[in-house]
Amino acid sequence: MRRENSGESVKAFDAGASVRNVRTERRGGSFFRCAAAAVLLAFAPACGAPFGSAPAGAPALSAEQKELNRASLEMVWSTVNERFWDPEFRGVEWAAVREKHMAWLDRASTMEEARGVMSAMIDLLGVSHMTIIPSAFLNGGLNDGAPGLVETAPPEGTNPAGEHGSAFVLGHLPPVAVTFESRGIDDDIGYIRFDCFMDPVFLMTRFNGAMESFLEREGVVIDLRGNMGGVGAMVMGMAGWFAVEKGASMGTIVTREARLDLILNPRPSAFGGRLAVLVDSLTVSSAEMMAAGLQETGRARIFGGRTMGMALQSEVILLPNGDGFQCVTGNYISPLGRSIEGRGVIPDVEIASADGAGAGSDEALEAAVAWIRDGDNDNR
Amino acid sequence: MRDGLKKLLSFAAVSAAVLSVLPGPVFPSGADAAGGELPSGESICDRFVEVSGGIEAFGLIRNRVTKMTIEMAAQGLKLEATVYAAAPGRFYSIVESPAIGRIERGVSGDVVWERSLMTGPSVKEGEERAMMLRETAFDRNIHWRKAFKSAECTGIEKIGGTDCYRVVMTPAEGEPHIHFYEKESGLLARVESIVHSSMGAIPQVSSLGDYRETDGVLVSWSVALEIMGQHRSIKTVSIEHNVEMPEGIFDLPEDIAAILSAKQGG
Repeated sequence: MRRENSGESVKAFDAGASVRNVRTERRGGSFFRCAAAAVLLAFAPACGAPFGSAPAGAPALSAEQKELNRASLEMVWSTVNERFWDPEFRGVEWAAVREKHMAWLDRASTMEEARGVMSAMIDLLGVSHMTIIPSAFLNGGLNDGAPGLVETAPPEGTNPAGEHGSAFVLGHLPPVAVTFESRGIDDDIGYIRFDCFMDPVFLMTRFNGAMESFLEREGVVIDLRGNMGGVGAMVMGMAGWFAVEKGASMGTIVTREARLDLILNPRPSAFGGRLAVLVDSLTVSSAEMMAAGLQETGRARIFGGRTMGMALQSEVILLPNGDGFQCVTGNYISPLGRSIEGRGVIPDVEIASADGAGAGSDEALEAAVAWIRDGDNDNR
Repeated sequence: MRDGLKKLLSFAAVSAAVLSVLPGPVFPSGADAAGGELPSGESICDRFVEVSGGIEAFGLIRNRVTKMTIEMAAQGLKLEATVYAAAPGRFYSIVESPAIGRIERGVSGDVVWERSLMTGPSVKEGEERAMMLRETAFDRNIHWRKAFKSAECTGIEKIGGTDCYRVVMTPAEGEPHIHFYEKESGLLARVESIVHSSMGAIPQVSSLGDYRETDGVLVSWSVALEIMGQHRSIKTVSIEHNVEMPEGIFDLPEDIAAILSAKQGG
């Protein structure tokens, strides 16, 4: 089923959406098929009631571990206090939560419970990209040996073809292997798909090479379905291939200290043909920034399903107890001034089956190809 | 997400290159704050030049190659950088790591440019260009009169427990920098400045330490950088002076030349 969206429908959604509700609704089961996204977003469940969930036989905490957990909660609280982009903490009385959660932490008897307390504290803010990551999941963590490679599983029904990068490590995050695919659709359209914005040496080299080979084509399709996001700077580098004028911005990252414009650097030989971007409910974070930026600057037409709505800047720091803390430091605002967090990117052409095209059929891709070839109807 | 990273790392590289500083001898006149009067900003800056080795010693240095590491311990990241600089203002830096790919920045004549695997090639304009031209002037803090139109001492503050003169350094254009010079040693201890990039203006604090005599001048081998709530430690690994520079190291790369040519309608 296909539906064309107008600007009005976008505005109407803006006005009515509750950030928290949308996020909860959209973090349903299918999301966690994307294992790599789960690495970034869902290590520890956010617990309303932090106790009672420890597995039977979980080892009790030593006095030293309890002290390290106290220091960790202190670091989590103070990092949010100093660096969370919103000095109003989205209405949460942040100064008051520290003491309460520290008291809860003192009652924790296992690491599970301790993590639950910290998760409960940061979950009060009701945003994505805010997670306590158990040490066993971290690169170089306290577990025995390095963690295994995170496989980025493509959504069911999509083409799993592509070249796989080797294990890439970014800071404390576990290794990830990027999958990249580029091919021609007949002789007139180029198609590019990748599953995350990681491993810039592997990914940007291939993306740049593909774009150089597509410069004479009528159109290009960028397939961001199932893309878990990653290093946002690559959004600017990729979009530079489609920039028509210097100074165009893919949006703004708002932090406590500054507003950072995601300014494009037009490539010396940029691509001037039609650009279609495919998205779905598993399109996350930097992938959403790319889709929103290209859509709202009028450079691309977006096909598929509404995206996850988890578009924030974050970083992972190491806690004294060996766990990691993924902390939000910036809010992404689209070129038209919309926060994508909790809202997602609404495609220009919504296609209900975008999350999992049936075997042998890919309605979103077919619609994008048809739009590119029907060049007279719309200049975008 | 980590989109700020690339930008911040490149800032770090530039900062480290700019902050190679030097030492020397005594406090000039009876302008000590103990007497209730603050010394002039000019005398503080001149004293820094003296304690760093003196203007003549610096005059013997024509170029410098600095290798360094940039570590963001909390984030688990470590990068390697090399900075090539030559009088009066030629500059080329390269930061490289699997985490960010390669980022090159350069000043070739009056062209300021950047090539980043992640963000693509660009020619800098406006505030960012002006800032880079100012900041990459060779031994800028030694030849400070060329870089700043005024230096005004506004007080004494403790930096890391040490009394420092607070000196407002005002360039010909752009925001003032705040320099903190140790009252006793005369060495530059901290610089507070605004970094301009195509993404916007960002406040930055650089704390200098580990001064070492290097080819007759004192140079800081360690800079702790605070930027956007992140801490990064820049450690110099090696400094070479008056070396044979790699051929063409300060030349415009082809893709940068192509951008300039297109801009000029060539």
